[in-house]
Amino acid sequence: MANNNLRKMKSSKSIILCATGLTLLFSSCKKEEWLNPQPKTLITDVTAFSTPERILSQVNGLYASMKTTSYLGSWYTIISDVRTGEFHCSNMNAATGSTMYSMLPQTTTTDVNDIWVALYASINKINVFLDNMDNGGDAVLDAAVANNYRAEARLIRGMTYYYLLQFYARPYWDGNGSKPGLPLRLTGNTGPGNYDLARSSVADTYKQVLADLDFAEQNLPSNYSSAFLNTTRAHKNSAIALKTRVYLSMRDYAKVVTEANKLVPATAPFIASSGVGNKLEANFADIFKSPYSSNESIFSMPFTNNDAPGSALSRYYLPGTGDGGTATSNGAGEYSLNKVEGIYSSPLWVDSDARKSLTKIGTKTGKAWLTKFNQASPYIDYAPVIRYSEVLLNLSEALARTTNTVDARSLAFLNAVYGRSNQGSSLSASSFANVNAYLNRIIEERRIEFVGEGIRNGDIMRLGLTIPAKSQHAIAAVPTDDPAYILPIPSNELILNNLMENN
Amino acid sequence: MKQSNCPNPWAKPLFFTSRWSLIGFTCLSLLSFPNTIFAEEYGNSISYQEEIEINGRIVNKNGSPVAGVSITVKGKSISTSTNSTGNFTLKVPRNSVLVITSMGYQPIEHLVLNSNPINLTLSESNEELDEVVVIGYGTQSRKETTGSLTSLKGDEVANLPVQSFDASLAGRSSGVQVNTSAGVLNQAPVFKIRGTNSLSLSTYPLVVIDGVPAFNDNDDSGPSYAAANPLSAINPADIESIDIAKDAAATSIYGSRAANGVVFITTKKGKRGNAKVNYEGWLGYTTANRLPELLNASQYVEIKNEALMNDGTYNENTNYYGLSKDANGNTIDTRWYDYIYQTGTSHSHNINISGATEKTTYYGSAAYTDQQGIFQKNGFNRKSAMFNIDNTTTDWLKLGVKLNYVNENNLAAMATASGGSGGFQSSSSSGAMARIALISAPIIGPYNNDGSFNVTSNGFLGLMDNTGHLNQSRLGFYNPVISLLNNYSNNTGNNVQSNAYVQIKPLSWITYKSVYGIDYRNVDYNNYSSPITGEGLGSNGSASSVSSKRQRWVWTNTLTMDKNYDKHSFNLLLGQEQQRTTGSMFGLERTGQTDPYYSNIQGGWQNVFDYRTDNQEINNYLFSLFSRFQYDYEKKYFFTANLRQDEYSALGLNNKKGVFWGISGGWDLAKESFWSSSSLGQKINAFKLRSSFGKVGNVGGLSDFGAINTYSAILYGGQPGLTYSVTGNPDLKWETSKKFDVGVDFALFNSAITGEIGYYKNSIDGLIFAVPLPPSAGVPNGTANSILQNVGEMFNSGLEFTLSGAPIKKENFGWNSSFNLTTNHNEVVTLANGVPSIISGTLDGMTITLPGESAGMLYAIETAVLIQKLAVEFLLMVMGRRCFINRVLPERMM
Repeated sequence: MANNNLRKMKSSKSIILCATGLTLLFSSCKKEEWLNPQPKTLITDVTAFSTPERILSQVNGLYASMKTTSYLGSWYTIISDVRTGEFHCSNMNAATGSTMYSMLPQTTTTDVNDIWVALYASINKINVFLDNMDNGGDAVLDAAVANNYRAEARLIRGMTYYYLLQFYARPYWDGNGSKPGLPLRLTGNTGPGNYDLARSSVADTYKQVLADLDFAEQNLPSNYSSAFLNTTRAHKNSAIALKTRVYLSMRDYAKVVTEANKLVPATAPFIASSGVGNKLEANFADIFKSPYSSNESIFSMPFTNNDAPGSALSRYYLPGTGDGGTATSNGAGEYSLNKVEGIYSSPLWVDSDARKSLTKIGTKTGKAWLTKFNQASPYIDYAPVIRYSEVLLNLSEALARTTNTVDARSLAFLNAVYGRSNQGSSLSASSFANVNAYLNRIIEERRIEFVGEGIRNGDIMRLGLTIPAKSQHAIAAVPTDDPAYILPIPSNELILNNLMENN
Repeated sequence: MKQSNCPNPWAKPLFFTSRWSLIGFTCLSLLSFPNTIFAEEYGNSISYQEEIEINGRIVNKNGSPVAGVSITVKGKSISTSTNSTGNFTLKVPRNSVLVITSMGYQPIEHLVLNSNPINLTLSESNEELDEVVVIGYGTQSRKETTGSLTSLKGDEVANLPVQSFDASLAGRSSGVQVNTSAGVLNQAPVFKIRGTNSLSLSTYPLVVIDGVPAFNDNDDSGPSYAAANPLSAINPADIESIDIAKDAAATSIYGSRAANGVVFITTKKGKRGNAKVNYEGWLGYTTANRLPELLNASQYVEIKNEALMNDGTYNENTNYYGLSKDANGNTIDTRWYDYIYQTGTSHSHNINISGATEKTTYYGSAAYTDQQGIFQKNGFNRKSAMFNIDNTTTDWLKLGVKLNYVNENNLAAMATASGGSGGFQSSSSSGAMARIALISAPIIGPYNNDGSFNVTSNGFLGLMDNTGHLNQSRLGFYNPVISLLNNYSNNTGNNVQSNAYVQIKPLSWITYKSVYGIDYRNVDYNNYSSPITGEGLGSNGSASSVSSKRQRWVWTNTLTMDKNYDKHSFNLLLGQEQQRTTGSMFGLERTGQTDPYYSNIQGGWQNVFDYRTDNQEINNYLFSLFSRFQYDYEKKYFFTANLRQDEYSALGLNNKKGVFWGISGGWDLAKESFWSSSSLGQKINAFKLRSSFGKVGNVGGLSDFGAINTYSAILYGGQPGLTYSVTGNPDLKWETSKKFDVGVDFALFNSAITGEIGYYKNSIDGLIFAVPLPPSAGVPNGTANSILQNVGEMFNSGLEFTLSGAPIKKENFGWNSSFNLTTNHNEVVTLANGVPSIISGTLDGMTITLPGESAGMLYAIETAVLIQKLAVEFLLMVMGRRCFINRVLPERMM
């Protein structure tokens, strides 16, 4: 009996040991799978180009990189305006741009760094995309579609370099493009390595911008299937329109005329004859209202509840509910229109101007608020990138400069923009003492038309204007030769890129 | 603090038995089966021997009875234990040898010749050096360890007003640095063993609770203002012992996770004897102390006007600071501290029942604690229940189960500014309580004279009587009274930590053990910001909720072989372990409150957004094989070798596998005859030299998918998008730590004084850090423009000294005191190529790391030289959230 029991014990032990052995064996079957888990929420670089839909998603992703917080969604836009004297800072809070407003940018200033980082992040995403397309990623696409996508990518890259130039390099006129421009990164970076790269000249950087935009013009589709896509994705007219802006910044007025003429017919009505029929919207306020996809909006950054902007124009410019904001239209009131030095106080901007109705006087503070972007949180008003009215005014200015006269066609474009918001009135050539007075009037019209849209800083740069003082905060004017006229290069770039030079 | 700790006199064995069988029925029905069958069979098989009944009494040196003493027949499974009067009875074969053991006493053996009463006296063992320490996959007598280990009794931490045990370890062990935070409940302390051992990865030690590595990412605050430390999922009162392993000898068995040291937590188990019911509780009060003294209203006005004058903007009519009057015409002089801080009341209650029979030990506890912090509305409460049962089923089979359930609630209303979880706790946020307490102007109050809140349209503190003559829009940030009254930001955690094991001894010298453990941690975060508060104004009120789930299982299989040949003792451990952790996070935010009545995510809202759901997937796996060989000769010369191979999923494709090892030796000089016979040996009764060297690793804090290049989903105007978001590194491997340690453990005057002196050097190479690249390279990552790489070297070296003594050791009164001292020198040897320094941190504090210096230094402003410049920068800093002081000057402060 004792032996029997002993055997029972032994067999129980063997059963347990065998069972354990088996389970160990089973568990190791899963080992390789568990050691190399596939993320369920991320797509790896191995399969990122495996379907046409996924590649289209990547194209949208490139646009999305353009509308990130520090870029067109919309910190870049806000900084472009608040440093120019058009706005008055409510809180003098460095977190909401007061360092840039105060014209005190330093290499370590967060805004100086964030904008640089966001724009170059966009550039690298584009470069990685283009590299992958060229290395077989386009295999699942029609050749034409693949080139459409390449063109969209290059348009964004070209514009991103253009936007960088407006902040981090001297204007083109200073030394005719010979000053330091940007490190030109044209291939994708996806791993560790040595990324030292010197700055190309301003001229060479502009050359790259134009190379990208020219490629885009040639390879972009003429239009898309919906007004939404025509506004939010680049087509031929977008590339042309942007080129008018780029050439204007280079003071290459003849080229501005050449490009703009592709979009603007010789005589009214001014409607682009090819591609998307871009034209002025009849009612100014409608441009900034849902669905935001009028033919005037050649290119805008779209936002929805689930991809709302990080730094929204409406949040920064609309007053709070305590100062005239309504339940559906209120913001944080960070910046009001500068009533001293800004365009708001200009006698040219009359109260009957339709654009003035997109401003509001604070019920408590008496401040003037810009209500062009008028939706309350989540602030999903589209952010305009370029509108047809800018093409008209670019052409108007270029014609006046190339002819050095108050050119009749030029005046017609100015009046098209002016008259839209001042129904029944127009400007006459005789009212201008000389061509300079006329040109100044065009610039003033641009200020009225585009306030809050991030255009003013680029205009100051290309025109070589002094950045106005902000007397309410005792901030001095910044002349063109002041180091603060443009931004310094961020400290991280200076430390980590051994070939980088500061401004 | 009050506490009572009394064995329950009325608890009877019957009470215990019925309770045990109830639980046994519900969770352990499997275990009761072999228990009855095998025990009976075995009992029958030895019945041919002649048995006699013996009885006796066990007392200590003072003649007091010792309860719970284990009396076992050598080589047999017959055993009993003494009752509360020290008496026992037992049927044993004639000529048996009894082995009498009890914790804290030296074991004795006694030959049974006849049934006469056996009265024996136990002598106390030398407490310090005889204790058992946990060494990872086993235990060892402290005398035999060759590693550097500090052991603490759970009772030392159980009665401190902390939320998790780690917060109570400050100052308790040499080489252990624990800094608790500024009064925020349940915020994980900074917990480092022997210095900073990593620059980018976790520096938190691995915490192993009953063999299962716990979640110790040390900050589980997530998207809520209430701090949460995952280690609060264990009630400190349930802890039997804490063993802190510091050197390679003690930690290398944990291979790739050992670089920061290992902390072993052993929960309480029942002790031999009748059921004991034990209640412990405490009550405490907490207040903020050493708050800086601030200007009163009139001083504030004086200084601020002086500042305006210095700035050149003072104007006696249009721009000056003045006092405000309240409704009764009295000058307002607000002490904002009174609105921010409170005296917190905390209490804790813990009841446990424990005991053991010959075959079964059990411990069960239920506990509740409710604590208030020094910040208003900051609270913590926890309900916990734990049950531990171990059953020696037969002489070759042992089974056990632990179940620990904890529900914890971390409560807050506003950001406390304690740092640690990014934007949520940033000291520079507009709603940071500590900041508001300091910078809100004393010349205004939270209420206007008509009883309404003093608040601007932005939610900030308004000017009150300064309206109209001060060129400012506000005199502080958010009005805290509104936020504290209306908002909440809480998290609720539900944790289950459980394990079950089976231990089989097919031969007397072989033990096979299989332990399967789980750690499930589910946390719900719930936030609400009322539209009338600064936090909720912009979104017209918001509610957000996030559900976070993490599930970990660990399965450990070990084979231990113990063999003695004459004076040689061998112990060999072979093991395999798998650990898999999965989880996810999901959240929503809703804004635009449709009625003031709604205050949770389920209420009425205009908008809905996804919230904190991006890529929040957890999936990692660690597969390990390990071995330990221990040898000693005459308990005089000791040698230990550890070897572990780990494979970890989060590492680069080319380097998932790593091998780690440690060797150590010890020499107990006091055991040598020349020592014990010398006059020195009379005084120094223990003197053990030990040294170790090994290579261990660190992977703590690595992102699960950070080593591969990935694209993540994004929207473009609602259109589907995909964007290149993470740059991985297929060569990413472990951080490697080479640890060297030499030390001596000693005891003087018959162990009245014990101590330890040690030297260590820990050289870390292949430091993982996010090597910064020029921003213009545009390499995407969590930290933009950086790629995780193994670069750089750093070392920590130091001396440790511990002295413990028991100057008074009487039966009813004892006084122990312990003193420890540690020096640590941290030096970064090299950083990555082309990276002269790493500047890291947030606005709450930037640090710099440079080769040749310690990691994480602060640069300070040269105040004396640039007083005017400083004023400007200081203003920028106070007024700005994103601004930091721009000048970096080479004046260093540690």
